[in-house]
Amino acid sequence: MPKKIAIMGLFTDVSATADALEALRVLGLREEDMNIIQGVPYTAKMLGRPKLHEFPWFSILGALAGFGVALFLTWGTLLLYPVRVGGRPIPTIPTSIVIGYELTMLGLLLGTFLTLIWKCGFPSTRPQYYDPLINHSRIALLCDCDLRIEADVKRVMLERGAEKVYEPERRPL
Amino acid sequence: MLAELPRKFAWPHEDNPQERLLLDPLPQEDMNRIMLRPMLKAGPAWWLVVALLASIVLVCFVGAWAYMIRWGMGLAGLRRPVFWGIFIATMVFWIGISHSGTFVSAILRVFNAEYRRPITRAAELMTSFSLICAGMFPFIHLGRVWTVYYMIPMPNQRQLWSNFQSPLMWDMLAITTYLIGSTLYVYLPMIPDLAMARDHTGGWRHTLYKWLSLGWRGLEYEWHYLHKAIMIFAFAIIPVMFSVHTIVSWDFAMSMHIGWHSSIFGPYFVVGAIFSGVSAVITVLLVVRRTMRLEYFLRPEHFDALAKLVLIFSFAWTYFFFNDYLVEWYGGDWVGHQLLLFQARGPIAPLWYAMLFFNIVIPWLTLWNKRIRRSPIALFLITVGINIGMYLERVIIIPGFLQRNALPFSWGEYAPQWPEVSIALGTLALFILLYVVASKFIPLIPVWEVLEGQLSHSRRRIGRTVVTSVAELE
Repeated sequence: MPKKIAIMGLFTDVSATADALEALRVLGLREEDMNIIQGVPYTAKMLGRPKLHEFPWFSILGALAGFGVALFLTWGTLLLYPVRVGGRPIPTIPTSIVIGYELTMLGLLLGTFLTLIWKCGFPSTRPQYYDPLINHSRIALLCDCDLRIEADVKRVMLERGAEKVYEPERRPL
Repeated sequence: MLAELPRKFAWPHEDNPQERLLLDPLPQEDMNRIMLRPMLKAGPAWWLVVALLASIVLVCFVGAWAYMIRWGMGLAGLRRPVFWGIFIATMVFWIGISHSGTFVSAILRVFNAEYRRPITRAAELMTSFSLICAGMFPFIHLGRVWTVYYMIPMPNQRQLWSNFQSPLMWDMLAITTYLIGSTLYVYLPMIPDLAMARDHTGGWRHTLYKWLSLGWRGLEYEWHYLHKAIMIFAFAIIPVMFSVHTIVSWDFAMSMHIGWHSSIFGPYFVVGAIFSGVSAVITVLLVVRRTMRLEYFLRPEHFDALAKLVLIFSFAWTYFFFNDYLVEWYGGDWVGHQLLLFQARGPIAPLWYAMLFFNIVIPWLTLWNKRIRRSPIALFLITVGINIGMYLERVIIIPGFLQRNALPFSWGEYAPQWPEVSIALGTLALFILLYVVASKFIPLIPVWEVLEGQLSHSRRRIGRTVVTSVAELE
């Protein structure tokens, strides 16, 4: 298996970055071999990249879990410790709706937050490929490529307007 | 013909695109510098303010509460028939202020109101801090605060669980949901800015921001999941916001007390909360702009837009107030009439007229005027006045209404005692203290959101004029 190498190009312009991505595809790099690091969220469309589509399953699961807790609190506890008041039902639907609603929403929000944490691998303290210049109007194009096309990748980036092309080191953030 | 119109008819921003933040970009590094400069520098004035506020919190809040815990709730002015006084009124006030962040951030985000971009973070922080202040009052009001564990749902020797059919329990859960939700909602969009602060700082600050930014790099998928989470939060937190103040209103409306038992109380409270919340956002932003020198980000256009919202919510609040008032007046119930007379001619009349003056007369007479909406001093005075008016509204509705009930032999008067006033003032100092301290650690302007907004804004010529054009980024 050919040895892989990481190459990072710093661009000042989003169009130039999109051109470089296109040229690297022609060179044979796959989408998953290339990544963009940016301080401003340029969209997938602007960069000519495929958009991620994912149903927020964890948010829905969180909502269901919240609803389950609410059911326990509103019906479970009342049935476990019934307080009998003449003529009144022990669990009641209208009053349970309020707690059901609040805890379902809390579950949804927590589920959404945990999705972000899980999908992005947060918190991460390991050394990473990174360049703080992305906070200075730069867009970093990071790609993993075979050692044998290293020179071509660097050339393509420079030709498409990269300000600087280099082999990054993993560094603590 | 139109082209020959005198220039005085043109709106200022049509003549001067520089007035609009999103049409007046700066390089990213300059924006970062503007935001970070006041964060990284704490002069003697800042320390003096912090020391002063901390002393007020220690004496007025902690001291008075400790004194009341030592000597009991008898120190408060709570006597039959008024069992809910300044404590509960102040809690409702702070919950109202907490609606600022959600309204300004979530609703304006969902509706793509572009002017929201630089003001969201400052408003969202208010939500969390005011909920912290509000959340302490049930404990203070409890008196014997050590019995608070009765409210925790757990098997206990009394063989009783918390009564989840009570609006008070709904309230506790709603406030908890809102506090957790809104704190996460402040935190999520802050992650890229914390990473920016991490890259620009050293020493302990770098370590702090490194942990808080969770290892954010700005990868495409990180942005994707962040955007998605922010949108889900924005949509989900709006109904939570509405539910919170509705449930707070049910603390009163679910009882059979005259003046409280009203089906309009839910929306009336929500509108009042947004009215006072947006006003408080303006007050805080004016102070932040002045003290942190954020004139580049916070411009007259933002205050103008927020002041229009305040005016609209003043109309809405007046509508609900009048609705509530008229139904009571028309109903012909003798006790209800006595309650209305008590407001108009009784001992709380000065508060009632002051409330109408601050919440209706002043905003209606002033905020239609563009020059006033863009005058920092005028806006500061008007919005502080509105919050005084809204606080008075809560005092009138809670201890005020409790002084008159369906049993005239049980009528009484209420006079707040010094521990109550001291604790209420102490929470105001606590809120300001939290904000002042946070301003040194948290980037109050979401720089990446401003940059994103500037990407989508441009000016293009249509016919003989040049108009602002906003592109849909997604």
